[in-house]
Amino acid sequence: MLKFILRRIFLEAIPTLLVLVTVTFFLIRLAPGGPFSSEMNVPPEVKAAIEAKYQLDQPMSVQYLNYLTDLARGDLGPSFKYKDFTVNELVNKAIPVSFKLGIVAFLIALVVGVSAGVAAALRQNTWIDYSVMGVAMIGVVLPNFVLAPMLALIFAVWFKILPAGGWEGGQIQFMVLPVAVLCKHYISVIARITRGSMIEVLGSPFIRTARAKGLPMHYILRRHALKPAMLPVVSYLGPAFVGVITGSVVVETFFGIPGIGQLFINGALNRDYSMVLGLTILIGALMITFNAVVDILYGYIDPRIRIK
Amino acid sequence: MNTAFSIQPSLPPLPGLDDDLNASIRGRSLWADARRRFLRNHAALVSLVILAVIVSLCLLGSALSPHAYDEPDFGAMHQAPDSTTRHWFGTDNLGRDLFVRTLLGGRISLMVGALGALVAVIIGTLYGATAGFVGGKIDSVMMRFLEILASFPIMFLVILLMTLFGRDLWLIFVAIGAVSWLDMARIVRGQTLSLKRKEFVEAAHVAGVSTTRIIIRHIVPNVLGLVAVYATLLVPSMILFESFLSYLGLGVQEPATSWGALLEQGSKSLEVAVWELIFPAGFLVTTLFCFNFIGDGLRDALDPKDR
Repeated sequence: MLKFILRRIFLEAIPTLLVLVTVTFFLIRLAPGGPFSSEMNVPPEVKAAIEAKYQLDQPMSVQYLNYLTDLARGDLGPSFKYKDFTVNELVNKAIPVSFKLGIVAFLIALVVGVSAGVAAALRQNTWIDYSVMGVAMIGVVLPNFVLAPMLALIFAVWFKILPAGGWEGGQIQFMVLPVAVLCKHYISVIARITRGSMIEVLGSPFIRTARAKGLPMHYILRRHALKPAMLPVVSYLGPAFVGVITGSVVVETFFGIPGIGQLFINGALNRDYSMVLGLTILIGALMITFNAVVDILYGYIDPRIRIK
Repeated sequence: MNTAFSIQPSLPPLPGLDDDLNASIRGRSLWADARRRFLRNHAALVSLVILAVIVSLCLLGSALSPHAYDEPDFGAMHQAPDSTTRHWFGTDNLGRDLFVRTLLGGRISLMVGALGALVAVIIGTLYGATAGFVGGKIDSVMMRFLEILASFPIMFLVILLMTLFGRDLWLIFVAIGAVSWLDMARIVRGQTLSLKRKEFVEAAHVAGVSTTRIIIRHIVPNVLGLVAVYATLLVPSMILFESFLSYLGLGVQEPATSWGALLEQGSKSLEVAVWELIFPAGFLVTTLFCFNFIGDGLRDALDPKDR
């Protein structure tokens, strides 16, 4: 098991991260037009001073090594757009907001998705099954940027019971709509996965044995069926986590929530290279770490994975 | 798909049987079988018809309306749908006709979807087939590279690309297609690997059929079905991706538009002009549903796993 964990971290996660950093770094440095090319007609000495401040006058290899050493210390460098801030300061302010939103949505998606999936599997081919799967289909196809304005229209404009946007420190009424939009897709996918694997598990011999022993259904579910049925859901948690983060781009932009997603989009629209670079690496690192954690967790639950 | 469906091998006439009987024992090819199954799927058929209507509307576009897509009318901003002014879908914040803009946006969204999927299919099929056929060390290196790419935050990389190289329409679908081929490559590789070891391939070998002919007659038609299925499912995700970028202001640029860009505008003027949201959203969601139903229908019809 230890060997599996070490291999997963040192041979897979860390090299992948390094490749990501290198690719994004050189993409940005080799792109046409520097980050300050929009500030036209500056005297050459001013330009030189600006470039010196951001170390853009040094050879590429030195810049790269500097960036790597800074990164190893957790320093993402100064923001090119908000000149008085470092990327770290801006990110640190945004992270708690995105995490609060993301974790609430994630938990709701997990609980609702699994319950709906189990219900559909237990009542296969009844109206419960059909309606769960129908709603799940809509949930997968309907994009966030359609659902968000629709919900805002209904609940904020017509009924006026919820605010159409804003964050205000994450008060509950400001979180309802964003969370609803954010978790919709994951509820649908988790419900589908749970239903599929639950049906498979319920048809397997050990469940038949448990039934033959005369155990009550809720006991069989809790004691025997749930754990094996959850395996595919666990392996979906990695992509789901990433999805919650990226999905929050639309949600945060629409509802005006000051999180990571909005920071990233503003960085992209303002051509704030260091911000976009820093956030891409940060999210990539989160993604790679989370996938590794899920893999290790999976290896823990299902021993067959370890011996590959 | 047309060329694909036309590959229908018919058996050579058997000597000693009369012509009537020979005609009645015509072989049922993979494709004839698939077509029969697809035609029985009502959801997929209805979707196909609706999609055909949407596509032809988008292609006809401005020919159906007296208004131009980029002609502002400051006397008629945010106007509700009205048949007397021939603004069937109303007007947007600059008084431009929404009907024409929705159709134009659809044309761009569908084009990005189709071309993005095409890029992904070509790269993915070539990559997957090469890895599967060559096998060995090259295969494992290629797959390792794929895994590294798959663990990248792809969407963020695309946005990074858009930031760096400007918001060119061509760049959008090259970028989207270039990052979406990963699943395709995996599917094609897996299929190629398993087909290589199938009995009918071995049988063909024993019968003395050449390798190229085995690939053309036995491997390609089998992979093609799967590729068609996933290509159909790729199109809506490409459309979604483009709409997403345009919604965030990183996609197509004014005065051109796409469904995503229209939705962005529509969600801004939600309180004064609902139609600016409803019509593009309706078109987008309908198209996405149609593609999904058609993709599911094709999968049921073509996926060899279900037989």
